[in-house]
Formats: sequence, structure tokens, C-alpha cells
Amino acid sequence: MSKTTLELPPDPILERREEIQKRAAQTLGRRTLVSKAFLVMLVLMFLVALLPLGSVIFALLQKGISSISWPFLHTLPSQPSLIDQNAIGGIGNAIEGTLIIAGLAALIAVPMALLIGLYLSESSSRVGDFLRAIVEIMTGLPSILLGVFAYEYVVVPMKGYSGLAGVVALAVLMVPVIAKASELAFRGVPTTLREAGLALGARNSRVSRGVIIPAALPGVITGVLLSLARAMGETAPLLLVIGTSISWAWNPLHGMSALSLLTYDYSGSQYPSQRAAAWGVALTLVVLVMILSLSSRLISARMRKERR
Amino acid sequence: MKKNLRGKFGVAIATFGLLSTIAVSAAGASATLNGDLTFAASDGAAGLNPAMGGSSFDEPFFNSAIPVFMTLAAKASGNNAPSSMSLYSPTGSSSGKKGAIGGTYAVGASDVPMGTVVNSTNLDASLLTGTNAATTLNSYVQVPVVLGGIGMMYNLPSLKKKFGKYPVVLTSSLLASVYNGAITKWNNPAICKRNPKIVNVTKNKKGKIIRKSCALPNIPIVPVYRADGSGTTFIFMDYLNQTQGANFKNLSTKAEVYPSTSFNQGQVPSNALGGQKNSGVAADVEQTVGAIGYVEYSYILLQHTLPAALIVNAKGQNVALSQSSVAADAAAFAASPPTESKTGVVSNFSVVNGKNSGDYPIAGYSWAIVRQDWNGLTVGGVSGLNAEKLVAKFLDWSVQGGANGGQTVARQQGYVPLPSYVTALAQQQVATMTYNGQPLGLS
Amino acid sequence: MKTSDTDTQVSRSDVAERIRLSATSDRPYQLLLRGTALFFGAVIVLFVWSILHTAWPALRAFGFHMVTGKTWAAGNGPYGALPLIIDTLLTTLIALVIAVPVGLASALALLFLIPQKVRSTASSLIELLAAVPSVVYGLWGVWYLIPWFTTTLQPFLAGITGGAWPFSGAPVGFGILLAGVVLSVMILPTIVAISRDVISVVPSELIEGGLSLGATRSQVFTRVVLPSARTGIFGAIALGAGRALGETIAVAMVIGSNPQIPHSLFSSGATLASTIATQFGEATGSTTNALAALALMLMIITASVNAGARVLTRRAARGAQ
Repeated sequence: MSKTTLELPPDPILERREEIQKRAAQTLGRRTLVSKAFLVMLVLMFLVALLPLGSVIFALLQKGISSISWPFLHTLPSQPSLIDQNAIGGIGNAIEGTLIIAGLAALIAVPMALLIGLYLSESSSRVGDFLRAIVEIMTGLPSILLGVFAYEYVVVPMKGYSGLAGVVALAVLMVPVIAKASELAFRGVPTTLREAGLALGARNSRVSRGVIIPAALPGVITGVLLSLARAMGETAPLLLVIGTSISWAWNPLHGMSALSLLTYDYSGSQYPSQRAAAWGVALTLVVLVMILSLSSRLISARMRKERR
Repeated sequence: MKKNLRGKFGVAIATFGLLSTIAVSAAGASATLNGDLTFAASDGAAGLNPAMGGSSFDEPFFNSAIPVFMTLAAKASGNNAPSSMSLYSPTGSSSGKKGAIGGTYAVGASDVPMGTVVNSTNLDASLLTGTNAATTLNSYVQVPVVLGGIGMMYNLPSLKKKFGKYPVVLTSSLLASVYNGAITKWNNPAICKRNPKIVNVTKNKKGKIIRKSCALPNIPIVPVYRADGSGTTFIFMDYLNQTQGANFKNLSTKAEVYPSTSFNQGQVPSNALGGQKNSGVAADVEQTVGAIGYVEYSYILLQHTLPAALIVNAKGQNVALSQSSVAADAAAFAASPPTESKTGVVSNFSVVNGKNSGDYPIAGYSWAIVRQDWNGLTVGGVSGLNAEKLVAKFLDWSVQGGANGGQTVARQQGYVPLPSYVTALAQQQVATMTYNGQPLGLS
Repeated sequence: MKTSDTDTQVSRSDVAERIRLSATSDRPYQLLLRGTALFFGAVIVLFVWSILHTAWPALRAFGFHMVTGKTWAAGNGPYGALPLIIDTLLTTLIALVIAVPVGLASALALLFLIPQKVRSTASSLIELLAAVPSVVYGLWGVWYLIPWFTTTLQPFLAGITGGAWPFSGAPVGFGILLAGVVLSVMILPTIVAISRDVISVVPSELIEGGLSLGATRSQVFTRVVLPSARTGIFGAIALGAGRALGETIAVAMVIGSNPQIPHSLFSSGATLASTIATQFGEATGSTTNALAALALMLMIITASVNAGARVLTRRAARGAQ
């Protein structure tokens, strides 16, 4: 076929494309291999990330489960002596202390944090932005600083270590966390709902109470439970302010015991019985904390489902 | 190794003694007590709850003694006896002093009495100031309550199998060199020289010894100290300072290291570890091969995996820490007992490095500090004559020997009962407590 | 944790307008909200004041030497926090070096690689790491990690450099490296959660565009996804760093509490936070003031890091629009 063919001038763009396609095709095998290796590495690194959790849980179960018994959970500790080195008693008062301190802290923090969350969700002023910034920065501050604060303002004036000082420290710790979570939850309530309420002539307070808070409740509860779990596990501020107790301490004006602090104290005790019990105390604490954080996950999962 | 045996035997005797007094709380108040455990209804003791706290060294004592005291008092006085006393807060020696001065504690305990001056530095200068504090020492009464020894716990697993029966022997100069970093390895010739039993023996075919070499491992010594301020540290440093003087010096500044409640940076080598409280030190030693640390006696006695070093005393004997060897040490100071001057300064309280045979040299008293006159004050959450009486009675009982005295509880917790001349001093001190200038009138 | 709320922006200002209008008719409610906000603001001021006020005597007496001094001695001073600051930064750096790659890999794996069925379980597991109290990590560090450190990890590392820097010194477990490793575990969930959130808002057009151009998945991850989520990832890292800088009890249990400028990664050390925890109870007089000054430094450092993180995550949320 000796037809005259149209001689196209070489197109640099086309050539470049061909070049690239050729290169891409040539390297495809290698690139796919590299990519596969990379992806496998990512998954492996993810599994590595799970290792510590496995190790911690294994350690807690292996060393802690033998200490746990019903008497261990509801009786008072007994001081071991040289005669009775294995005396250990229970951790009832530490569980009680943890629940009371964290519970009272929540009692103070939750209403305050909800109101602040409402304020932040409704405010678009400079003051609101500033407060929001402060709240968010507070959520990341080391808890030990609040121990110093509670020491100065509760322990020193009251002349004594007390559960109350722990309550104050944990409450200030919880407020920003709950406020931030509830602000997000309040923001997540569809604006139409709020407007409907307002259009019906309800006041803002009525709308908040009747519409916004109920609609945002799952999110708020999640925030409360998570911050409660975090507060229960806190050791550093309590170390500075709550003192100690080995009896039932219903009066928060006196020294109290707490699971986190007891774990710390027992971990290096001269008595092997206490040393072993440290793992039992830690396990109890972790179970309590896990119950809270798992239920918060359940609530938020249900919430997400309902939204759909 | 006679001394070694004797040390072990001492522990055995002590332990036996404990077992024989197991029934202390069941024994009831008997006539053997000098102290008065009876309370009348007018004493209003039942509802009083004076807060006590301080030295962590004293925690096992107070937390066992308080319930026993209430039980014994209840046997004597039924419902009139104190029944609401809560337990002791082991917040530390300085905090014990601070609490007694500031009114947090009705009884504050410290391993170093207030007003102690070392190298012309007043250890409490910053304490005896403040708004509501009585800033003169004679406003306080200082009572020795327990006597205890401090052991050197070490972690050398390689010696365990072959040389388990020969604890490492250390001298004050070796300890000083370890803690200031002059000696860095366990097989330092100076340590080997003190431990002739810990040797690897090479024999030839005929069974003749051809070579002996030090079996201490060639690994770094890791000194462990208290990271928090501590009376235990004071006693340990006091021992090193009194025995070594200027030889116990900061290696970089060459300055003599005087006793204080904390080792400071530069006074310990860079590989040293700090632990919080006795428990932190024990945990550090236990988890670190090559570590050595100072801990109170009960840690040594109850430690089933790690040994304690024998310490060479002033007589040149290798002595193990035991209740009897500490008691012997304290007895060596009978001629110059602790005294409290009119200005409130306690002198001669140090009992380190006793000069007699069998003395274990690292030991010390711990002190309870109370306000002398409670008129118009609230201390440890209580106030008034009745509260002061209760505290005075408790302290008076605490220092008593005898089957039902507080010192029996102390012995059960691993302390050494106070020598009788110290009990006498302690009781004299309690007797100086007044209310509105009037003696309390205890029997 | 959703960082984006901007889709409600427009209508929110609308609502704000209404609120302003109805404010006159709803005074008590407004007062209650403002009053609470004001009260909490006052608590924060009091909190900052408590630390500043307690630290002041030490700052006045020792001045800038408190930051630059190389010797920290409880009791009578000197109170030089330089070793503590260095140890704080170094442990945090180690934690980041470990946790950032592992955390980013986990975030990518969670979003793109793990089968849908186990995805939510897998991410809950990571979040459970955050729920474990720090004292438990301390316990785990002392009684579980140390034996592994002294017999396996540290001899291995020392073998790499032949016992030279940075792996010189005796393998005693307690120290900077152990603290860094424990911290890395503790900040991992923060880094995973935040970076997962910012990566999930990378527009899928970008990812699909990359794939359609013939890039492999790994190329898309490293050249498209991570760069476009960069700002948010830096935010996640900063949040993790903030947590590591202030972590107290776990560090106090494993670092060896020896305030010194480390000569190797095996050195014992002490951080700002761990020193406050171990020495505060026994502190008197000037030591209390000096510890409060440490608290002040810690507050300044963590607050600035958190503020930085906040700026970054906000910018990332805006950029995702």
C-alpha cells in the first residue's frame, strides 16, 4: 500500500505521554510489589500498636486475677505485720473512695460543664471564642497542675489532706472535657429543631431544656462517662492532696483512699502480699474504667445508628 | 563468721519474740502499764479524732498502734474510751513537721527532730516561719517513739547460687565511695578485699589451690537513693558523715557532704536511681541488677529474694541488720541520751556508729512532735483540754515497753523497742505538756 | 472527635441573631449561662494565680537561673530546672519517634486496609489504650517492660553502636528510654484518633484521581493522602506531644528520678512533672516554691503546645472544606 500518508510532525506532548505510559508499564510490577510490601507493613505496624494493650491486659489478668475475690472487694485493708505478713484484707474503702471522689467531682462538674457547653454552642462572640480556646487548652493540661492548685486552695486553708481536695482537682479537670464534648453534641442538634422551638414562641431556656439537651443527650452522656473514666484513673493530683485512709471514709473532709493511689502505694511495698495485691487493685480499677468507657462507646454507637 | 551467725540468730530471736506476743490486743489492760488507759465520761474521748501523720518510716507503727490503743482503752473504760481515732497519714517527715507547726496534725512524726542544725544550716529554718505557727521550738514537745535500723539491700543474682550464704560486706568508706561515685564497679579491689569469702578458686589436678580471684561481678554499681526528702536519707548520710567526715565529699565540687534529708544532684553518680519512699527504692533495687539501696528494716526482713549487706561497725566486726544489733547500737549511747534543752533543741539524738561490740551502725529514732500547750488552738481537727489529754495519753502509752505497751506493737512491725532510758525521756517530755499553763495531770 | 463544625456556620450565626433578639425576653437563662462561664473563667484565673503565686518567691530569688541552672537540689537549692526540661523534651521526642509512624500507619490501616467487619472493633481496641489509667502503665513498665529491657532490648541497642552513644551505659531499665517507650504507648491512641479523623476528610476525588493516574495505593498514601492531611497530622502530633510532656505518674515510676542532663538514652532522669510528683509531698519552704515554678514552666510549655495543636487542627478542618 503505497498511499501517501500524512506526515504528522512529532507531537512532544504525545511523545511524553507515551514515554510516561511506557515507564509506568515497565515499573508497574515493581511498584505494585513495593506498594504491597508497604501495605503489609502498615498492617503490621497496626498490629504492633495493639501489642502493648495485649501485654497490659495479659499482665493484669495473669497477676491480678488471683487477688480478686468477694471479700477483697468489700472489706477493709488490714495492715500486714511481721507476725501476719500475708494480711491484706480488702480494698473496699479504696473502691468507695474512688467512687465518692469521682462521683462528687462529676456532681460539681457536670452541671457547670453543661451550662458552659450551652454557652459555647450558642455564643459566637469574641468572649465565647476566647473561652472555647481556654477550655480546649485546659483539656490538655497535665493533671498534676490541678493537684498543686487543690493543695494551695483546699489542703492549705483546711489544714489537712482531704477527699474534698481531690474532688476539687478532679472537678476542674472534668469540666473542660465535658464542656467540649457537650458543645459538640449541642452543635450537632439540627438547627431546624432549635428554630422550630423558637418559632413556636418558646424561650431559649425552654428550647434548651425541652429540645436541645434531650436531642444532644447521648453525646453529652458519652462525654460525661469518658471524663468520669479518666478522672477515676487519675493518680497524680490525688497523690498530692487526698492523704490516705485505711478505714471507711464517708466524710470527704478527711483523708481518703483511692484505687489509683493504692496501686501506686502497693506497687513497691515491703510486704509481698501487698505487692501482689497491687495488680488486683489495678485490675479492679481498669475494670471500672473499662465499664465506663465501653458503655460510652455503646451509647455513641447507638446514637449514630439512630441518626441514620 | 561468728558475727554473721550472730546476726542471723538475732533475727531468729526477734521473730520468736514476736510470735510469743501475738495476743497483745486480746490481753487487755493490765497493771503492768505505767500509762493510764482509763477514760472517764467527762473526758469526752469517744468522739475525738485527732489527725496524725508524717514520716513514712513510722507508718506501720502508728497504723498498728492506734487500733491496739483503742482496743486496750475500751477494755479499761468501755464506752468512754476513744473510738473514733482515724489512722496515720504517711506523708513524709517534713510534712509531719510542717503539719505539727501549721496545725494540720495533732501529732506530726519526723525522723529528724525539729531544730536540727547541720554545718550551721538550720534544717527547719523555712518551717519555723509562717503566719499561724509558733515560731519558737519550745512551743513544741518532741517525743522519740520508735527506733529502727536501715539496711543496704543489693541485687547481685550472680552471687546467689554459689555465695548465697555470704552476704556482701561493706564499710562506711565503701558506701561513701559508692554513693559519691568514686567506686563504680562491684569487683573494685577495695570491695573484693572486704569479701575474701566471695572468690572463685582455681585448683590444679592435685587439688592444690593455684589461684583465687574475686567473684564479685564486673558490673556497674547502681546506687539507689530517696528521690523525695526523707528522714531515712538523713540517718544514712549522718552515718556516712560521722564515720567518713571530709572523705564523704561531692566528687565534682570536693565539698564535704553534710547530712540532709535528700541527696542532691552532684552528690550521687549519674547512673544513680531515685525512688519515692522506701517502696520506690526497693522496687528500683529489685528491678536493677547491680543496684544497692538503703531501706528501713522491715524491707530487709521481709525481702525474700534480695539479701542485705553486712556492715563493718566501729569495732571492725561484720554485722547484719537485726533487731538485736540495732538495740545494741542504741544501747551504746546510754551514757549520752538524747536531751531536749529549754529552747526546745534536741541534741544527742543521733545513734549511728555505736562503739560497742555487735552494734549495727546505721540506725535512728523517729520523733512525734506535738504542740506543748493547746489552749486556744485547733490542731489536727481537734481542740480543747480533752483532746490534748487524749493525745498525751496515746503518746505516753506508745513509748511504753511491757506486754501491753506501744513498743510491743513496734516490735511486731519490725522496729526495735525503745531502750528504757529513752522511754523515760519520752515520758518526761509528754509530762511537760500543759493546757493554759496547767499540767495535764496524767497519772 | 469531629473537628469540623463549619457546615452549621451559616445557620449558627442566624441562630445567634435570634438569640440576641430574644435575649431581652430571656434574661435569667442568659445570665445563668454567662454567670457559669464567668465563674469557670474565675476558677481558671485562680488556678493560674495559685501556681504563679506559689512560684513567685522562687522566681524572684533565683530568676532566670531556674531555667538555665544545671543542678536541681531539693531542700536548700540550687533549683536549676535545665536537666528536668531536657529530660521532659527528650522523653517526649522518643515517644513521638515511636508513636508517630506507628500511629499514622494504624490510622491508614484502620481507614483503608482493615476489613470493614473488624474495623470498629479494631479502632475500639486502640481507644481502649487511652482508657488504661497511667498508674497501670507505670506498674506494667516497672514489672513487665524492665525485665525485657534489661535482658533483650537494651543489650541489642548497645550492640548496634558497640556500647557507644546514644546507647552507652549500663542497661538498668529505669531511665529516659523506658519512659519514652511507655509514653509512646500512652500517646498512641491520641495520634491514631486525630490523624484518622483528619485523613478521613481528605477528599475522595484526590485519592481516586491519584489511583486513576496509575499510582499505586502506597504512592497515593505517601504522596497524596498524607501531604494533604499534613496540617491536621501536625495537630495530632502536637496533641500527643502535649500529653507526653505532662504525663506524671507513669513517668515517675519508670524514669529513675535522678535529675540530671542525660549522657545517653540509658541514663536515668527526671521530668518536670515527675519531679513535682515525687518531691511535692515532702517539700517545705523554698522547695515548695521551686516546685511550683516547675509547675509554671510545665503549664507554659503544655499550654503553648496545646494552643499550637488547636490552631493546626482548626486550620485542617477549615482546609477540608
